[in-house]
Amino acid sequence: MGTSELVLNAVFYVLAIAAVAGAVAVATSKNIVRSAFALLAVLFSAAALYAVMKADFIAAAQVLIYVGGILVLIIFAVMLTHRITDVKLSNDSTPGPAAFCACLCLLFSLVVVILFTAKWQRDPENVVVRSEGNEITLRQYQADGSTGLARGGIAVEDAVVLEVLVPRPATHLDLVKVRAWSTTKDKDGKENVKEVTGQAAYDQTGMRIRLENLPEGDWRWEVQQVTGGTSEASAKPIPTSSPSDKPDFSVSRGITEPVAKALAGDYLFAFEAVSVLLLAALVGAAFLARKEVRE
Amino acid sequence: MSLSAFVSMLQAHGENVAHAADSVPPALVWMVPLLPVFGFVFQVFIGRRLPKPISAFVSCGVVFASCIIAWTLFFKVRATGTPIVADIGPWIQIPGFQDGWLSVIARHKLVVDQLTCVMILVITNIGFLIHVYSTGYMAEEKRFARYFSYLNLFTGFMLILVMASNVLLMFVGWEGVGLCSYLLIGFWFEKKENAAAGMKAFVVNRVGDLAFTIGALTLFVFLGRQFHVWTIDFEEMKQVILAHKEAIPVGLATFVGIMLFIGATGKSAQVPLYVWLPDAMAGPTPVSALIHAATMVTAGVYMIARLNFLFTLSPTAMAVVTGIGALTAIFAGSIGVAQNDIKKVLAYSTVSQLGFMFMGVGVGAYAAGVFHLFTHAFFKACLFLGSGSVIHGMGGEQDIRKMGGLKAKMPITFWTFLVASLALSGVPPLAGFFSKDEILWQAWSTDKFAGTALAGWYGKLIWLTGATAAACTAFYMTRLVIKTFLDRPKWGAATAFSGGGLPDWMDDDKKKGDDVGGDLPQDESLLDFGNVKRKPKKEPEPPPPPAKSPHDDESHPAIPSSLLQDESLLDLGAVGRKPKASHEDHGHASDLPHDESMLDLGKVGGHGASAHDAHDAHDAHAATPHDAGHGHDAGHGHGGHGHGEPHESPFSMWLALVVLAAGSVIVGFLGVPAALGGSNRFEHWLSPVTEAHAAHGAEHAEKPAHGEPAAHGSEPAKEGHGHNPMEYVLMLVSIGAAFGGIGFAWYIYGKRQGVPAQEFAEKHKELYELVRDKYRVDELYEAAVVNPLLNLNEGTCRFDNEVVDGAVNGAAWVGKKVAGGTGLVDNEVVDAAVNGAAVATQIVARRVRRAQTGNIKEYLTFALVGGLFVIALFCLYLTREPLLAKIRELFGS
Amino acid sequence: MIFSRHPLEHMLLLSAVIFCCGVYTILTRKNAVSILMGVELVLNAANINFVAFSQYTRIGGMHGNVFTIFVILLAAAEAAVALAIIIGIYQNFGKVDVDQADNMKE
Repeated sequence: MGTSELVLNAVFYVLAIAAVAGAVAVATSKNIVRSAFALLAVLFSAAALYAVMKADFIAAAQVLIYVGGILVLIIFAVMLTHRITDVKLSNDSTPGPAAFCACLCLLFSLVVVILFTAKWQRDPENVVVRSEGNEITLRQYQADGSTGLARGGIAVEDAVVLEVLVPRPATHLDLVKVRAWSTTKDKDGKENVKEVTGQAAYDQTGMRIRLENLPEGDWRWEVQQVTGGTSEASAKPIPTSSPSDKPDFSVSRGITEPVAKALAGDYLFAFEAVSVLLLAALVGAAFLARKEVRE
Repeated sequence: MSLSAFVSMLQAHGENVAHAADSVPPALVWMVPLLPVFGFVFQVFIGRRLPKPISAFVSCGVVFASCIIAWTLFFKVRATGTPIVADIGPWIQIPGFQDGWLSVIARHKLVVDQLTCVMILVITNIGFLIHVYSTGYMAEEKRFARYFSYLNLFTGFMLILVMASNVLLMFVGWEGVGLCSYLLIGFWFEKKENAAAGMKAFVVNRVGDLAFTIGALTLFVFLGRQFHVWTIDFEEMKQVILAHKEAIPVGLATFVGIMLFIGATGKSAQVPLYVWLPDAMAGPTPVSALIHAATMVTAGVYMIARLNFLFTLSPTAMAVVTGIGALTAIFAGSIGVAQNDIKKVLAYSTVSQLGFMFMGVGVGAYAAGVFHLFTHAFFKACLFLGSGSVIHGMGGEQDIRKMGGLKAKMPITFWTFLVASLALSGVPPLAGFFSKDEILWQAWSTDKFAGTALAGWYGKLIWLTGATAAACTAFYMTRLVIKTFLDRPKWGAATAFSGGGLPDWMDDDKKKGDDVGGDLPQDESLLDFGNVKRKPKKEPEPPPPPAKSPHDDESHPAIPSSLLQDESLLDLGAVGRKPKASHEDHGHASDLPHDESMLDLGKVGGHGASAHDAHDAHDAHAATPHDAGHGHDAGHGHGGHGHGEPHESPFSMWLALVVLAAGSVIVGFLGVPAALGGSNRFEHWLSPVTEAHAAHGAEHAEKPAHGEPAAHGSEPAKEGHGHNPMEYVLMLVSIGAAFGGIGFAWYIYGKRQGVPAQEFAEKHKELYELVRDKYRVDELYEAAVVNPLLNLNEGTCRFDNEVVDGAVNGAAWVGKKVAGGTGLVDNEVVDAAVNGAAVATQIVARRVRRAQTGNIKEYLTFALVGGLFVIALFCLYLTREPLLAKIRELFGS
Repeated sequence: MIFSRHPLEHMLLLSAVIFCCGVYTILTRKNAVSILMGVELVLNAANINFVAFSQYTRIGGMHGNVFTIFVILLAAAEAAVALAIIIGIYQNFGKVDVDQADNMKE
């Protein structure tokens, strides 16, 4: 385990503990202000976790909206709904066995489901191409090398891992070359092709090539060459099976751009509707909280 | 013969009949019985509201019209010699009895043949005379219209009886006359005894009718089964029987004949069903005359004469008929000797003479029997009407021991009575001699029983019995005449019983009410049991000044005063009004003691004043209903006319007497036997009806002495018999018996004033009492029949009450219990279930309701719990295969 | 079982725990604002879930992330409205104890 990995784990666990502790505090604190601030801790932790998950935009949104808006509002409400003379600002709770047991059961069932029953699709797709009688399996992973990258998916980091599997006993080391390129159009409309090649020895489990520092854009890749072996592997390029107008994967730094593209694309209507909803909520809340004019 | 041949024969016969009837419309023939029925309807609905003269006129008128038509029919039949048939349609049609869809068993058909002619002439003529007589006799009767309605109805039914063409129609008439007899006997039903007498007549008749029905139906079924001829028409039955004489078993003929004869026994008062006739004297005298002398009681004889073809088949039945007839003749004759009520004597005499008639038809002398019927109608009716006259004249007295010396007072009555009684006794050349003698001769010489055990001697025995009965008849009739008319008067103020009174034990006056037969002491009426008060005989009062005052007799307030002063419809004011004793009419205004008739030519005997009736013939004491105490026509406190003296009856009454007495003399000559040189036109006349059996003992020469023997023209076969000398001998014996009886009675009662009789009676007291009490037959019946029946009735009634009602009540009780149980179940179980459901709901709800706390947190908690539950189930479902595999693996199944 | 090998499972577990804490808060607390805080916990747990799925599986799109954005937006709106109501309740009843808002109790 490399250092970065260790750090990553440590960060995660710290944040996780913070979040859980905060949640428990929210649930059990007798002082409502304390529970409000525990909520603050939870929200911040959540934001940090979003960052850990490389969902940068959401982390920012979380902090901005949740912490900066909702939490503040909650604290306002806390303050406004207690008499000024209340010193303790007590927050009693009526814990009942039913609720506790129910929550435990819920947790238990969730845990069971998460750990034991659900199969999360983390594996990459297998793309099988044929070349001179050989079946070659191509895969692609995210930068961490374990999370599969769907065909046409977005890699939020600038590194991808490509895998080529040739199903023949390797009597000697083969060399597999892959070539990845992306075609972007600059403002002149001229195509700009970036190419990255990589090669790695093919061992019994296949060949993995890590391509790093990929600039943003839509990329395609192909197996350029497979050398060695008893039978003459093809030296010709073996393209992947994706259609030519669709990229094999996209690279983007962070999720902001893809999210924005989605909001303005697939989720446009929802976006607009939510804005209307916010308007209604604004008006409603203002109305509901008005002070009655008493003669 | 085959069925089709038989049918065609019937058709041919019918055609013959139809030809004869061509000129007589059926409606006319049907008028004969229907006019009196119309009179009945009229009287029922309208007659009540009319004044008596008019309703009387209508009633007599319809009978007179029937009489005219009857005479027309008679002449027609005499001319053509064939019966008149009036067929107006089928009556009883039963499907399937013969070939053809509907076979007609009976038709609405009247047949007027020679026999029927005789009957309808008797009925209508004598009936008309009696109707007229009744208008006077019943003048003061409250229920005048009702009386005439019954009388008309009776006439109608009787005519239907004799004119009927089939058994059932005759039975309609049979029953109808029985009904009318009941109605008329019990006419004064206020007195219980009269109603009882009426019921007795009806019930005894009924017994006979049952046997009649059995016999008739047996014959019907037999003919149908045997010969496939289903009919009850007389003519058709006759044809079938005559055609198949040998195929009919004698036993069946005997059975049917005896059954029919038992019916005749009931209707015609023979032993043992005669007991109603003496009691029937409780009815008005005209009724007795008409029904119980002339017509109804002769229905049995008529029936046997009509069905002669059947009786001929069975010598046994004929032996029974004649034997019973003879027995009755002597039996009743012996009873009549000891009776002291004038009507009772005549009643028993009637029974006895009916016995004679049955004797006649029983030996096959159908014509002789019918002839005796014919003559008997005349003189018996005359005798009855005469007795009515006597009773009327005596102011209601019926006991002959209190009469006497009426010859001078009531000459017309006396002479007519005498003539009739001589005729009855069989004194030649009066009518009774010829008819009675004919019967006796036929009985002696009958060959009906040849070949049976009765051959030879039975007829002689019958003859002997008949001759003895004839002697008795002569005896008691003479006794009656003597005691009533010729004896020393025993009425009057001077002496109740002057001269040797009757010994006490004979003197029923001293006894309490006895049954009929003896005198009732102090009683005017025979049936006045215990009513021993005698209305005081009024002293003769000086006739009150002639007063046109209205009857102050309140007994008929309804009679307009103008009529009260009038005796009759035709009183043209010329009535020599005798000063009237304003109804000292003995208690009922009506009688016309004083002036009685519309044609009062001043010959009113005896009485001065005239209380009159507004009606013509008024039989004064005739039924006066006012005195409810007298059911008896004579017995209305008439005691003493107020004049204290018997008097002759009014013209309208003695007219009928004279006519009938004349008839008694004349009609005999219709049946003079050949032995005496006559042509016996009567037998000739009836020969078509009796022809099948005319072969026997016919010594009647076929001399068309009177011109037109209307008979078929078929002279009955003249067995060149010559005249049996025995006939003359027997004739002389009959004459001897008659004169002997007369003489003996004359000796005892006339010369010796009844003393020998008294001595005899004293010496043989029990015998005398036995005879006087009519052999105690009624008591025997009461004990042997009536009481057991009543006990049975009682028993069944009790059974019905206890068992049947008990069962019904028990069922009701059970039902009630079941209902109670069901109710209980309903209340306890069903309601419990219903209530229980409600209660259970309440209990559960009370618990469940607690879930509604209003606490949101709780709601959420439970929502979460529920959601978890569903999720768990879903997960289980998702993992079912591995789970099941695991379980199997675990349990090694 | 370390995070870097199984990031998805860890995130999901974390989100489950936070979720349960939030549910417990909702079920248990008396104060309406506390209940609202519980609701926020629940929503955040859901958000973590969404983002984890979007980032750590072969989904290939930004769908999880977008949804998270929307959830955040709606949470804001809802919090605003809920707090307005709570303030209204406070003004009317003087306290925000949900146990005593039981006018709908049977």
